[in-house]
Amino acid sequence: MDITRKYEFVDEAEANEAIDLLRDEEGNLTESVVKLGYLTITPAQYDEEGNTIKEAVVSTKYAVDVSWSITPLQSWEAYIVWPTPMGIHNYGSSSQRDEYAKTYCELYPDSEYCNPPEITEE
Amino acid sequence: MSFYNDASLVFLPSGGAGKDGKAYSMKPVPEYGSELVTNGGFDTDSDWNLTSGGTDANISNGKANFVNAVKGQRIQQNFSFTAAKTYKVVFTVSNYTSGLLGFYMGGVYAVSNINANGTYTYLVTPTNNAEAFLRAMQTGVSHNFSVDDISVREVVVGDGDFTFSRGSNLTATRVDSNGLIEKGRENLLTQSNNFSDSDWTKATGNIVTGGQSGYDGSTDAWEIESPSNNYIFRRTNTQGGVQTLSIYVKKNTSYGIRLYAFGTDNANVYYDLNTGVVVARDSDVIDDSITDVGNDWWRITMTYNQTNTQLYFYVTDNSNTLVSGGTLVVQDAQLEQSLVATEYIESGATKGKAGILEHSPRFDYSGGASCPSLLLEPSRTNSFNYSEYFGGLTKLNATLETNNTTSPEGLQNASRFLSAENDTLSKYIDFQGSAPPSTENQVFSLFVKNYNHRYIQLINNGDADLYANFDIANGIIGNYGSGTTASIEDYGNGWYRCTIVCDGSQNNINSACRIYLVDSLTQGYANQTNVALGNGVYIWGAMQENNASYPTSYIPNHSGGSVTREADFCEGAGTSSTFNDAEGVLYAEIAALADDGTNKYISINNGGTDDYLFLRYRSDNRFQVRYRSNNTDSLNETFDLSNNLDFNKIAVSYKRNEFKIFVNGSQIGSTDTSGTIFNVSVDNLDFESFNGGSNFYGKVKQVIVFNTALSDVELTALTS
Repeated sequence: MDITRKYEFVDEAEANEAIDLLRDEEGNLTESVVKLGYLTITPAQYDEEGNTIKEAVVSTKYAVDVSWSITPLQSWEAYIVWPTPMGIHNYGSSSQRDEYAKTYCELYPDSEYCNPPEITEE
Repeated sequence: MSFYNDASLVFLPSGGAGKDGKAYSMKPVPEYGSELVTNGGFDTDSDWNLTSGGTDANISNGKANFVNAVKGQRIQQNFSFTAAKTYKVVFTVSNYTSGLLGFYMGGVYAVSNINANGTYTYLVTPTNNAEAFLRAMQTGVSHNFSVDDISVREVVVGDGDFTFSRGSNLTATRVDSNGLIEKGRENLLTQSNNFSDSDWTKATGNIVTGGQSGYDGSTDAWEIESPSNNYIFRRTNTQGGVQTLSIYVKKNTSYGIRLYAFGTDNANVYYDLNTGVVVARDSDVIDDSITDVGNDWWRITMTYNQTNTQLYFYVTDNSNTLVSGGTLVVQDAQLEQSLVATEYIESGATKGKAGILEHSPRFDYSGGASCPSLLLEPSRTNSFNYSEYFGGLTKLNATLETNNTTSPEGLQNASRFLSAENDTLSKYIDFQGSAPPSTENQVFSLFVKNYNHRYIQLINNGDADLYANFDIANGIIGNYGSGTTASIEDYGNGWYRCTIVCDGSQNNINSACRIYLVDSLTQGYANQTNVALGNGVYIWGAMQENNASYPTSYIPNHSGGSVTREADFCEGAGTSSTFNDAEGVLYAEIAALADDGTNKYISINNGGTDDYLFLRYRSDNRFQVRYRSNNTDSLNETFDLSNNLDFNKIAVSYKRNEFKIFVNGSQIGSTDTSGTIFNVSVDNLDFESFNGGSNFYGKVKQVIVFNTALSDVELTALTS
């Protein structure tokens, strides 16, 4: 089964170096990759005419999601990140999303995501 | 002649021509040799060798069982096979809990990483005549699973099926034979009608009794009793976004039920099962319903948008008070990422799935087609956080009503967008996505239907040249900006998909797109216009695709973030016996998705770069046919089709000193009388280049391969 993993790089050039390792002899990508870029943390605000009232706040890291059909390359391990499932970008099949969430909870068993609070009112 | 009878490979998209991981061809019909394995059903403890001492595996209960087996444990039988021939191997894995299973045959591992229950099929071409076995593969792990019904047979005639992959189910859609948009669906609740299972947490003392008469005539319903003022069930659901919870319920000694989703918000709904009304709800509920399904049964639903929830079910009375000792009858619970409840999907230990499945080819009936075509698309991301729920969006001088009318999906999940003012003011809804990288394009599409107003405008908020006006009563495009191209597509029942493609090379594109109500087809960018109070349109299916020059099929999104549909891959049909190196015909009825300056190939090849035949839409949007033998062109013609986006019927006939191309009933150029045939045999038909990549993104009505060259008369008939 394919698995989805998420990565952050210093910039696009560093991401491209890693992505180039996923190309075959003809230069075709052998894995499915989505370059998310510098993620928006807080969206920009615009007025009625489209003028920017407040600039967006964006991450300083360059984000890339990969749907791996093979065991993820060791060289990518240094860049892996684990946002709360599945971060701001859903990628892969529903089975891949379940696998990501399951692995996340194995890595972070005490996180609130893996232990949703129960009601106390009753 | 009968073309289908005489063909060696026929691929015709139709309802039954695909499943998870395969696009089936009608021909060739595969033929297999006799069974090579003895006692493949493990009916007796005989005929098999349990190696590595045999202490970690056994044959019992009609299965071969790996029990705490270490890496290297084999289950082996010495049957006869021949190197370089191809064999079909099938077996079933059950009771899986840990480890990796492999199958080895004559120097080749057909698979080495099976880690789930299922029936597995492989084609293996061994490189020697030695042993074959099942084997535990993982270091330092106990292997626990069973294997049954193993079969190995020689492939006498191989099939012509394509291997298909996409890796996306919930984000892929097609237009079905009824003209409705079909999605992938999933019931997020495991054990969805097994309320005694531990997946359903029950408060102390609560009782569930199965075998009750159900709404569907079955005896699959459950009586539930709450002896205390507490919940009857609780389910943990960490999946976020817009979701709809539903369950079938019938009154018994009590006649009320409460659904409660506790998480980042609190969604609560109380239902009266005597009168069939919702008696109370919280403001965090997007929508709810109670529907009479007969015999005092109701299907109740609650839709909300939150993450990390605990779902609770309570027995209540008609004053919304929890009841101690009250009973109800329930059946078929479902939780889905949707604005409305859809047809029930049974879940067992794993989540139930329906509709478009992962790795299932999409046979598409867009444009009112009576016969489907195989839809092959590139990967795309919908950058809008929600594609159908617009309740949280910024709007100006407008009202929005969720789930107001029937959408192009055939469900009541489209919204109504109305003017809230009589004055000459802007009336819009603002969709926030993300901006493309500098100079890249953006596509904004939205399904729109006339309620009592016909003119709308779509814009990107970044530049006054990025807009277009539409008449959605008549399917007409009006004025549009200099940085914009626009299209409108009829989806039936009054629905149109309106699209603007924003040119990023000259314009500043930002993350926000808007729909305005306007009063004519000639309005300028984001003008204030006079649209009367209460006038408006229906909307559904918002989509923003960055780095794109044309819209692709609808990508639903209820997640609260962006979502990506992966690319379609369709490849690997046929064997060397499917193709005749000396002569033959490749015929395709195809349409490109767009003139987007990319190469899009269909090829017959052997994986090398010296011998192949391809058809392709070129990056300059011309069409090319090339037959190459021993790294030399036997045929290389480039020409213009009248419209790449229309279905064109193209046939290439090859034979030593006789190469010719026919398109839509006419020959292109003249017969080439000098070429040679393949030097190395071809064995593969791909919707991609001869050496991978440059996928064919388009629509395919049929592909046929003949093992003989055809006459001019036959080629004319075939392509007419």
